[in-house]
Parts: sequence; C-alpha cells; structure tokens
Amino acid sequence: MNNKASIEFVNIHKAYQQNVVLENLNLTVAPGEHVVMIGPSGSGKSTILRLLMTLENPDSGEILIEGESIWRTTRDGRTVDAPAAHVRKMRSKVGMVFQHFNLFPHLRVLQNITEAPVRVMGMSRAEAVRRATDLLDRVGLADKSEAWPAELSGGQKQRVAIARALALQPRIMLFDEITSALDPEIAGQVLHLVLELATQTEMTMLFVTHQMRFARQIADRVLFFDKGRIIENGIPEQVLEHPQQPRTREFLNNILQAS
Amino acid sequence: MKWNWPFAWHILPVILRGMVITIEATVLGMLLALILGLIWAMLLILPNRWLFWSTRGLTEFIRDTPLLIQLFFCYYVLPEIGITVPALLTGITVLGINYSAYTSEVYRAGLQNIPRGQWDAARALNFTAAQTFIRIILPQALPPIVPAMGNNLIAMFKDTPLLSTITVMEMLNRAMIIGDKTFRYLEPLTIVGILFLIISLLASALIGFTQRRILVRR
Amino acid sequence: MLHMLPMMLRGTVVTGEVTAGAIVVASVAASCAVAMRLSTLAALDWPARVYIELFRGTSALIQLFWAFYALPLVLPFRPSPMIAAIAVLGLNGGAYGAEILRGAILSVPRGQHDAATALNLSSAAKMFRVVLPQTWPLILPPMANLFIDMLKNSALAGLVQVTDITFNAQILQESTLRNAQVYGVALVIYFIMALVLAGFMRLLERWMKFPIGARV
Repeated sequence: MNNKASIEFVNIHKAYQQNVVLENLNLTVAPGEHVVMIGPSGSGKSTILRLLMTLENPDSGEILIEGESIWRTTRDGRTVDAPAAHVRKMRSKVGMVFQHFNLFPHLRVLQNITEAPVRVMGMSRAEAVRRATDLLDRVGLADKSEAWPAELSGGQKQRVAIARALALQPRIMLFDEITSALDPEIAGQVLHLVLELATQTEMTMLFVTHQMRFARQIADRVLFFDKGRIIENGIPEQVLEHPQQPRTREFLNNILQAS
Repeated sequence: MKWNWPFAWHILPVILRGMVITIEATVLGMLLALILGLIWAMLLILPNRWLFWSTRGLTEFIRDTPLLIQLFFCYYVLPEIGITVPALLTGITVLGINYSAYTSEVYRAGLQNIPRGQWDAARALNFTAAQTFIRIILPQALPPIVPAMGNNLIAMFKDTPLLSTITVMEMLNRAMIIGDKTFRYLEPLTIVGILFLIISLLASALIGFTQRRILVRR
Repeated sequence: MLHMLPMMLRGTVVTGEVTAGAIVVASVAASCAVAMRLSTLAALDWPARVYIELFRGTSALIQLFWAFYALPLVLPFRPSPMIAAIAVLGLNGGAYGAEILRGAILSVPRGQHDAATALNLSSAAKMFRVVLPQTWPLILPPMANLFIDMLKNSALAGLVQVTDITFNAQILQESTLRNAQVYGVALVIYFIMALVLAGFMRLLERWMKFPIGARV
C-alpha cells in the first residue's frame, strides 16, 4: 500500500435548491479501506457516492482520488476546470453498484458486462467475453450469460451488476444500498458475495447500507451521517456498539427494533 | 413578389367568414364522432363476436384509408343513390364518421381503465346493465379521456380544409378563390395558415390546462 | 372496371414513392429536430420548437398549397410537384415524429444514465448504445401509426398535380363518371397499402423486441 489517500473530500458543500445535503464535509479514505456509511435517509451518504462517481458535481470543495482532483487540474500554475478527458480518466478508477441494479434492458447479460470494456477500455471482444464469462462464473451466474435482464430475479440482477462494475477493474468500488430492493434471504446471498470479494481484492470500498450485521463484518470504519455531516467516525465496535452521540444511539435503536 | 399589407387587410374579412363554416364543421363533426364512437365502443365490449368483428373491421377500414378519398366517395356517390344534401352536410358527416373510428378507441381505453370490481359491485347492488353503464361506468370513464378527445378535436379542426375539395366554402377554399382571381396566393394562404396556427395553439394550451386540472382532482 | 386498373396501379407506384420519400425526409427532420430540442443551447432549441409547432399547428393541406402556390412566388425557382409534396409531407410527418422520439428518449429512466456514466461510456456511446436502443419498443407502435397517417396524407399530393392514386382516380372519375367504382377501388388500394405497411412495422417491432421488467 502506498501512503497516498485513496479518496479525499475537502470542504465539500452540496445543496439541491434550498436543501443542504452535505455541509463542509471532510473525509479521507485509505487505500484498500472498507468504509461503511450509515444514517437516516436524506442524511447525505448516498450523495457522497454519487459525487465520487461524478454523477453529480459538488457546489464547492475538492474531491481527490489518489491525490488528484476529479474536477480541477493545474495548468500553467493555475487551477482550472479539468477537461472532459481528465474526468473520464478519473472516473475509470471508480465503479458503482446501484440500489435498483440499472442493468441495460436491451442487452443480454453477457453484453451488459462486455459493453464498457469494449467501448471504454478498447478491449477486444474475444478478451472481453472471456473475462465476462469468468466474472459471471465468480458471481455464480455462468449459465445466465445469454439471458435478458428482465428474465433474472432481483438477486441475480444485482450479481450481474456487480460483475459489470468489476469488468472495468476499478480501484474503488461504491455500493449504494445494493440490497434495499431485495428480499432478506436473497440480500444475504448478495452480501455474502460482496464479503468474499472484499477479502479477495485490494480495492477501496465504500458502502451505504442499512444492514448492521454486514457493516460489522465488512467495515474497517463506520461513519454515521446526520443532516449532511459526519457526526460519528470510528471502528465498527465503537460506532455500532458504543456510540458517543445520542442521535446515533437513537438511530441504532430504531434499526434494531425494526429488524 | 412582396407581401402586400393593404391587400391582406382587404381579404381578411372574407377569410374570417370562412372560419365560421370551419368551426361549424368542426363542432358538428365532433359531435357526430363522439356519438358514433361511443356506439362503436359499446358494440366492441358486448359479448357478441359477430358485432365485434364487423365493428372492428369498419373502424379499421375507416382509419386506414384517406379522409380525402372518403370525402370524394360520399360526395360523388350519395347523389347517385338519390341522396342530395348540401356539400357542407356531406363534409360534416364524413368528418364525423372518420373521427368516430378514433374516438371509439379513446372510449375503449377509458372503459378498460375501469376496474372489474366496479362492474361486480354494480351487479351486487342489482343495477341493470344499462344503469350500470350510464350511472356507474361512464361517469368514471369520461373525465380521464377529455384531453384525448380534445386532441381529436384539434386534429379534426386541422382536417377541415379538406372540405374545400368538395366545394365547401371554408377558409382554405376562400383563400384559393381569392388567389385564383388575383394571382396573389401568398397573402390569403399565409393568413389561413396563421389563423389555423393561432387556434390550434390556443386549443392545445387549453387541453394542457384541463389535463392538469384533471390530474390534480384525482 | 378492368380498363381502369393500369392507371390505378401506376398511381399506386407514385403514391408509394411519395410516401417512402416523405418517410425518409420525416426521419431525418425528426432526428435533427430532437437533437436540437435536447441541446442546452437556446439557439438550437428554439428553431426546432418553432418548426415543430408550425407544422403541427397548421394543416398538411394548407402547408402543401402554400408550398405549391405561394412559395414559388417568393422562391427563384419552382420545385416539381413531386419534390414539393415529398418535402412538405415529410416535414409535416417529421414534426410529429420529433415529439414521439423526444418523449421516448426522455422516458428512459435516470438510473440508465447513471449506470452508463458509472461505466465511463462516452456521451455518444451513452446515446447510441444505451438510450436510443431502449426507445425502439416505445417508438415503433406510434411510428407505425405515423407512417400510416403519412400514407393517407400522401393522397393530398394528388391535389397539387402529383399523378398518384388520388389524381388518377379524379381523372378516371371525370372521364367515366363511374364514381362508386373509381373511388371504391381507390379506397381498397389505400387500405391494402396500409395493411402491408402495418404488417411490415409489426415485423420490425417483433425483431426489435426485448423483454422489459419493472426494474432491471
């Protein structure tokens, strides 16, 4: 591991109209670290992932990946807006799995996975197919390569989505409530797959989840978000079992009672 | 040739008189289309296969052939079988029949959106079939289809210039007569175009407004 | 009855030509208009809006007469009736087609755009590989209706000297006075042409089909 941070948020501010989602946020994630973000909905945790994936721009502040800003670059000693090519280069370091899968309905499972490696990385089709087949095998769906997304169950869709994101070999993976749309039993299978993945790779991983058991198992660090701020930040035992803030205690109690 | 304002102002009243006929044809044609379309829609939901397929075939044929030829056919053939009526009446009838094929589809969609349970509940309360249809089903089916009917109305309005081909003195016919007489087609045809544009845009805005009102109410 | 068939068939070929030409013009016009409408530049958006409203807000016959009688007085040359008819009917259909296409593109869920961005697809790849292919099942049925409307609208070309079915039917009617036969045959020919066109569009629909679930 090098000692450069994998991800840095510096003084990030983000609002939708009047609604402030992230307020003066600072966050550093080490390479290979697994960080779980919890908190009530609307507290800004998903926005962190969307900002990192460049699905949205911050209103102010800097986001750095491996020491390099996503949106800004220096030219002739001055900081300027980065060209699109730079943003695409930075984006290639990040992969994302979505709550609602977002598979492409018009492409078969295998094409869903090969599309980006062929179009974005310029990989040969044969090579892309070979690797996609490996990935499908790894997520336990080797027999589904010619299926249409609509023919898969929710859990299968999410596993394809994971394979699709992995196909671009990102160094950072973002998981945005990936089991919220699934039945509890199916969710367990998908989370098991992610746990396996986490032990096998050195990717930096960020999770937004409501599954506390999974958080404890996978997290190096847990962040508790409330109203656009990180109000608790520590190892899972500390945040989940001995929270310092009353707001965290209240949230965890509610979750426990619900499950 | 340049646009001649005095000429344009001079012919405007003549064309506007044609608009009365245009609107008359649209309103009466739509009225006929609304009545006939409802009849077709009712025949389509009755459990009679023969009625279903003949109604289906008729509306399909009407929708798949040009209104212009339908107009010519009726205009020339009706007198042959002894029916002599003013051209305007022929035009209104053909417009109404033509658009009934479209309004019947709108009615059908509206009727299909009424849940099965409404028919069941009416049956459970021992309403007659006619009572069920008139007092329970139609009142629910009609409001949501108002915008679609409005769109048909605008479409019919824009089809009325075709009546000029069977000698009806609506706007386009007047404009062409002026053009033939003066060899100035630019002003009359442009005026007719602008008048159509204004009315269509106003009507579209009105439909958009109604649609929002209906959405809010639900 | 039989002696009128050759003339009607010649008219059928011309009707087919006018319709096919107009469909090509409409496809190009609709694609350009939608590209302009989706642009963030007002200088591109507004001309496209004006085009769409102008052609949808007036009637095809008025547009055709205007192009045939008024436009040549302003233009330095007189386009042939066939060209004028194809251009006007095509632009007319294109305005309706643009609304169909735009609605379909806008209905592709935001998650699809997110996923394409997350996979680092270029904006061209996003449009042509992800968004547009998904719109096919949505636009084909209304497009089939539009093409049939355009076939029917092509009859108007007969009123401006294009020798299509309508034009030839009028000549036959005047010379033979067999009104019911002439226009009856014309109606049947148009009906058959519409059925063929609809059948072709249904084939295309089946070919372009992919299963779509509530959430994929």
